[in-house]
Amino acid sequence: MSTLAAAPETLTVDQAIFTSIRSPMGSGYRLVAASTGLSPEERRELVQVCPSHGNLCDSGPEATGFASFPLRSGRQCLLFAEHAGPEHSARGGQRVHTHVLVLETKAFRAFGCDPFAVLAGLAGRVEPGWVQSPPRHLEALSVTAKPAALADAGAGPSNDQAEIVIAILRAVLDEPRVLVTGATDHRRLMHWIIQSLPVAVRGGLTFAAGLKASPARKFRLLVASDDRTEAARFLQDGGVRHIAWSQPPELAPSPFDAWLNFVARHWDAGHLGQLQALCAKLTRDASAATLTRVVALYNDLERVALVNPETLDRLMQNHARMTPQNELEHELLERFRNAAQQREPQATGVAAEPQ
Amino acid sequence: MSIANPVSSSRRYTTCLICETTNPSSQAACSECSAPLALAQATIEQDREPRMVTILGDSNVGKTVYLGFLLDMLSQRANNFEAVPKGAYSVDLQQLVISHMAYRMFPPKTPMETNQWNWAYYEVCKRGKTPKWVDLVMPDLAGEAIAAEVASPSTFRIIQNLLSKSAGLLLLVDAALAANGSAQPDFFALKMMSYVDAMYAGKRGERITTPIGVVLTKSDYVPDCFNDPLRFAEANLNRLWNMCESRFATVRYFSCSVVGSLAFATGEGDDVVTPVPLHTALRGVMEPFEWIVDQL
Repeated sequence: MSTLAAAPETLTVDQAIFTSIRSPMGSGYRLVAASTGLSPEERRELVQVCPSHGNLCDSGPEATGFASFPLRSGRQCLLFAEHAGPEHSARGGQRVHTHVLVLETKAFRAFGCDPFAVLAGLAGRVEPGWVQSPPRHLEALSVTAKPAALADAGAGPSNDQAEIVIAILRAVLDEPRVLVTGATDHRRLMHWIIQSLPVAVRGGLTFAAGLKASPARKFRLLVASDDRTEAARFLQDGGVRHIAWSQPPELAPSPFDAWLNFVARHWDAGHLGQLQALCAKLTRDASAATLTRVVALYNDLERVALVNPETLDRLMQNHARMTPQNELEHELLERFRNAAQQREPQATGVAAEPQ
Repeated sequence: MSIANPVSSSRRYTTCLICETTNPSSQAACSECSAPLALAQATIEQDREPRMVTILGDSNVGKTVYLGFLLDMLSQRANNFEAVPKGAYSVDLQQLVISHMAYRMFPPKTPMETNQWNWAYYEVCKRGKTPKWVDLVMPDLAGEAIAAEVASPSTFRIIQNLLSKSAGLLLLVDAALAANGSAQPDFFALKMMSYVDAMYAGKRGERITTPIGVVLTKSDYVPDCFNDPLRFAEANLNRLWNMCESRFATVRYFSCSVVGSLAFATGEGDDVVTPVPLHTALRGVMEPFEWIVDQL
């Protein structure tokens, strides 16, 4: 399946750096550099949201964290934080260096609402040396948008991991807010979650991974450490589904079960590229009913070559009455009908032979 | 009333003392500003308005250490004060500071995230002919949050709310940096006082009467500061001094120091030099507080 019909367009991405350094103008955590496209209101919000001292879940020198959420201005914000050596005031702990990317919603959608695709698109544009020596000035970046390449889909969760990741996906689709604790590789986990959600869902998913809870980071999904104090902070507001990585919850029925089973099957078969391509086409409506219809159509399309003539006939009758609700359903239905029509003479011929 | 839930069962909601947001009483902290709801609940019990004293200052000026030692001295009835913490959370800050200093370490940097600030609520009384009990709320704010609020008001509304409700302010300024020729402490203090001035919005010609104690921290570097803090401020923090003279009616200058001797350590191959407080020698910690309480 193709991902983008139109030619890739060049988009602008604003950027900023939030960290603690000493300079003639001051010291401590603040926006030390920002491109001019960021408005004062956006800068203010970044100061509220960016992690400061001790706010990565892991206290080790290699800790990282990231987040994706819309700013009040409507633009999408992506944060990528890491530890960058001892904090300059030498009161213990690591300095947190956060690189911020801000892009228009249209640009974010051009990347399939996938923060990792945005990061991949900017590969080589961000200087590694900025972590130790942040620049004083930053320019906005021009980048050619493309969703994550199908070849970069990577490996899905192992059989052991699939159960818990499906539980997390279910919670993300069903619940208003979700806390996941104890996952060791939160980047890989978020990659699986993003790649398994339709673009229409990704666009509305605010999340943070590897960052401690704070009032300014009240996102729908938080992937954090096992620390009970941290979990308590996130859970205190109520209405939060808590999933511990080491204890997969019992799965209650969900209106999204058809989709989740579909995802699990594709992981198991290693068909992540196909899953990703399908998710990329669900850009508007990803309700449970729509996803169930899409999965049914896709499954029937796969079955055309395998079923007996009677079953094929029944499937064709079912789909003859079907009215597609969106472009993807229309495409799948067309493909089904073409495949069924090609198969039909063969099926009739087989049935006629015994006579 | 049970210890676990001091608010009566008829009170299902608690209004935050700082930002006045209504929260379910079962929550520990305000969902808007993260101030402990226990502050409001304790106020209901006391049936008297608490007085807020807010400690302000730039990052690394010594707010956490100052407040921690102050609270610890009050707990030990220094200077004839009697102080009772209202809730175990009120002891967290002094425990943090005393524990770290006992191991010859300064406490860690206070994060900008409001849900990670320490709050202290104490009942305080100075014993004398007419003892008067005062309820004091003293939050330990992050210097960078204060700086961000001053630079762009409404970044941290909790600071605005705190200042608007404060009966007194203690502005901590790094005397060591100022004496060393750095203008940074003076500029920060000037911005801070300008912000306070704008907040209280006094008429031209009318000076703001909220008592403000200017505490010159790390004065062990500049012993002369103890002799005449006012003259030190006039000479080394002239912008601040002029601002206070012009716009504030009740200002007093104090010198303060907590470290008796300081060493500097670095690891092999390390670029970072870590200051090591070898022992504490508290000087001038109580006086600013005593003065503020007298003004209330």
